[in-house]
Amino acid sequence: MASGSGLYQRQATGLVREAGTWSTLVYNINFVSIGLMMMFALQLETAFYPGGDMIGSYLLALAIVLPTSLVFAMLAAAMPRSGADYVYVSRILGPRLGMMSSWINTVWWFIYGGVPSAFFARYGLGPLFRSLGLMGGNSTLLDIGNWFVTPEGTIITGLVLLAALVTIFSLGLNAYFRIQNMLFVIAVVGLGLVALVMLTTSGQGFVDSFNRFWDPATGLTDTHAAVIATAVADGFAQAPADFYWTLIPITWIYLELVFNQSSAYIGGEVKRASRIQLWSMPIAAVISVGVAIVLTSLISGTIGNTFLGVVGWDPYVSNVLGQPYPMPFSELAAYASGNLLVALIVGVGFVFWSYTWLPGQILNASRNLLAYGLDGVLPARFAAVSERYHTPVFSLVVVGVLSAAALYVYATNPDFTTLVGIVAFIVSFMIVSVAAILFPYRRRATWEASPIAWRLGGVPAISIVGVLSLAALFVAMWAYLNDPLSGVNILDGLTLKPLTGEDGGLTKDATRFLIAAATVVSGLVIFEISRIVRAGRGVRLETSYQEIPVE
Amino acid sequence: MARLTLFFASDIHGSERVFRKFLSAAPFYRADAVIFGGDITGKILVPVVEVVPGRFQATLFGRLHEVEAGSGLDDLEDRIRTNGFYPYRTTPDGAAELADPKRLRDAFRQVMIETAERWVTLADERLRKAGIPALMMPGNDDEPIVKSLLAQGDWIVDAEGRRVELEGYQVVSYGYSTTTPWHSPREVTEDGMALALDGLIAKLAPGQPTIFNLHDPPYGSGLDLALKLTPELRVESGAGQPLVEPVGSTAVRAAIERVQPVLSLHGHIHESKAASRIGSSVVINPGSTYGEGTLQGVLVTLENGQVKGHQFVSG
Repeated sequence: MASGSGLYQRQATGLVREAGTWSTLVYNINFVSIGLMMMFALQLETAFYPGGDMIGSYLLALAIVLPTSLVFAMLAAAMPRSGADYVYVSRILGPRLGMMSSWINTVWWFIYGGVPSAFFARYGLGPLFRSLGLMGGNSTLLDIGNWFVTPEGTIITGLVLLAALVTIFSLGLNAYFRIQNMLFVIAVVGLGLVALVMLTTSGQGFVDSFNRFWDPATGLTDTHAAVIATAVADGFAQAPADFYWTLIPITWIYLELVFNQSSAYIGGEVKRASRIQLWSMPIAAVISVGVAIVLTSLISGTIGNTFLGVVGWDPYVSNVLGQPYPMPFSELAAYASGNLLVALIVGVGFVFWSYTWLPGQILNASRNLLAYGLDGVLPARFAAVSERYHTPVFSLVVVGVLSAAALYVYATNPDFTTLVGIVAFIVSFMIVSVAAILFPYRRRATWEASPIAWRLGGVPAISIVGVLSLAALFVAMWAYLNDPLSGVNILDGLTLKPLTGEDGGLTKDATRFLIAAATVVSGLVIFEISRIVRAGRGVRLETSYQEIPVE
Repeated sequence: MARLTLFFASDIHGSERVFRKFLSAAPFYRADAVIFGGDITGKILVPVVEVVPGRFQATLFGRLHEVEAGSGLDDLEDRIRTNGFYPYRTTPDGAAELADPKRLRDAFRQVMIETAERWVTLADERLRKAGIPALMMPGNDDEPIVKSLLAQGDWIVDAEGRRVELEGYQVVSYGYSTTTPWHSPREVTEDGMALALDGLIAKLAPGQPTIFNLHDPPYGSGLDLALKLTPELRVESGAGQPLVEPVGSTAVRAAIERVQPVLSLHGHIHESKAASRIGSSVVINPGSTYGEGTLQGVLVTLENGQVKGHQFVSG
């Protein structure tokens, strides 16, 4: 028997000590991917958002993300279950909205499965081999690097990664986690080296190093100057800091930062895990932004925002460097160091950041499919767990196949923009925020018995946080619909832009917005079909999450 | 055989709110009978200390609550019970004595017996009134005395260790588990489990459809995936993901493979809500979320000696 915190335990099953605190934090930071978050800010905000201030954008994104992070953290503490929004929304608002909210995530995890699997080659392996080839004077490595960033190279490499992850997850997770933890350490060391390189390299030193490695490739005598001059001639411009253009590109930062709540999906039944959930999500967001601000400042100070901007601009407009995609900051740091070993470590570290969303996406999506299978919304086959490997092999394979299809589309079709799905995610987060607001009123007993039954001025704290989250999500949605690069730019301020083009057809942005909207309601359609099918077998699906009266 | 809809739940662990939901579940879900799979008593005791006459203090989730006798105290105790904890009213001196393991055991025994007796009475009243047959049994976490308390019910049936007729099906129940790292009150070795199950199986009538109600899930069935623990009982995790491993009973699995009951109901592993098949047997563990005041269960529809369908519910 044991005592502590005012309670006493007897010897009984399931009373375990705290789940891995550090691991939970790492899991959430993994899903944020500090590397990708910085890469987008450094290469896109400087290139296409004149007047944008990266540090300001990080802080604005953090302010917008934190209320949603707290909503998930508090709900995870109150309902320490795997499944996150599916469980929270189903219990508080009913199974229809639960399915709707959860399905949005699931379907976009399938689709976004194609994105990090493409980034793996495009921003991870490609730049790694390219930098090693240029710095080592090895044309074979350079050719390999250039192959990785072709559509063919991206698809083949992404497919190998997807197949490897689905296979590893099907066989069990233990081995994977050992590798993942090791890669995380390398990735963090890589970021540390980037910081060290930037601290010890002058602006002119960077220019000299860059030209030393790139002049032979471009055939120019001052590639650094040529890239800037051509970009300026092609329309690249900078502007004084501006709030609007600092707010709009939070879209690229929010894309990563909002997933600090990923540990909500792995829940766990350990009661004290609720405390870890409560702080690990917002802390993961704060740490990620803190690291990004420090590194961005160092990189910006050494390389300069002008060159960072033209490096982001060049592949899409000028193409002096002959590359289809911008160089990540890790590659620039490799050139700045002039050292092959540093280039290798920094490059390998960024390979980790390039795909780090993917494992969590596959695991979370397969878990959701398993939950739908268990609850009868999808066929029971989705809930089948392999007796040999103890994993949901069927669901994992389904996720892998759908992600592979998304990879093909993403790598070959420029109309599939990186940000399009996030507006659907935001709708899901809005539903969760409404659930949080209503939690103390619709599930009063559960809320009162939970460790987050706090009141502020007599109002349940989670309701206040839910309102703040909802307001923040409206701001985020507004930013995406106003961002010219989001792919769903259908607003101009608060005014709806024309949704049809000169040919009378829908604009691409309007089409993408409608696709995202369709995914929002598709969960409801699936639920209703399942409800009708199950009713024919004597099962009332709508009762699955109804509260049983106590008396 | 007519259609029979069963409601099965397990691992309530002292949550008053969840137990009351269990009693309401059959009419709510239109079930014909209820089966409880063991572990009725709680694991945690929260002293509610009367610091001055009429004023009580208790610490819950790290926060000190101070309430007056009456509705404030009732609300606090309800909140403690909803989480599956036992409120234990005592004096400052009595609270200090809980540091003594023997005194703590006595306190646990006292609240467990009081609660179980009250619940048996409540279950008899409610389920008799609804006309719902109810088969119950203790689990591995229940002290041996709980079995005798369940046996005092005049409507509910202590089904453990015997064959019970239920609408044309024969049900055999066993609530012990194989050994756990916690040395809970009712554990047996795999050999002991096999022996006990052999004894139960010997009581079965040949040819009659059989339902197993065994607290321990079958090994490697997907119903038995538990958090992997270190020797210090910490959850093993990697990159934030808790690791899991199968912890069920090989003897239970062998019994299912041998008898091939139409349905085998299990609990014990709260986080392993799952349904599967072992041969022709449908095996189900509805899991448990008692700590949130939620009753997890499963509705199973049987017809003509076969499982027609099942639906997990969380009420």
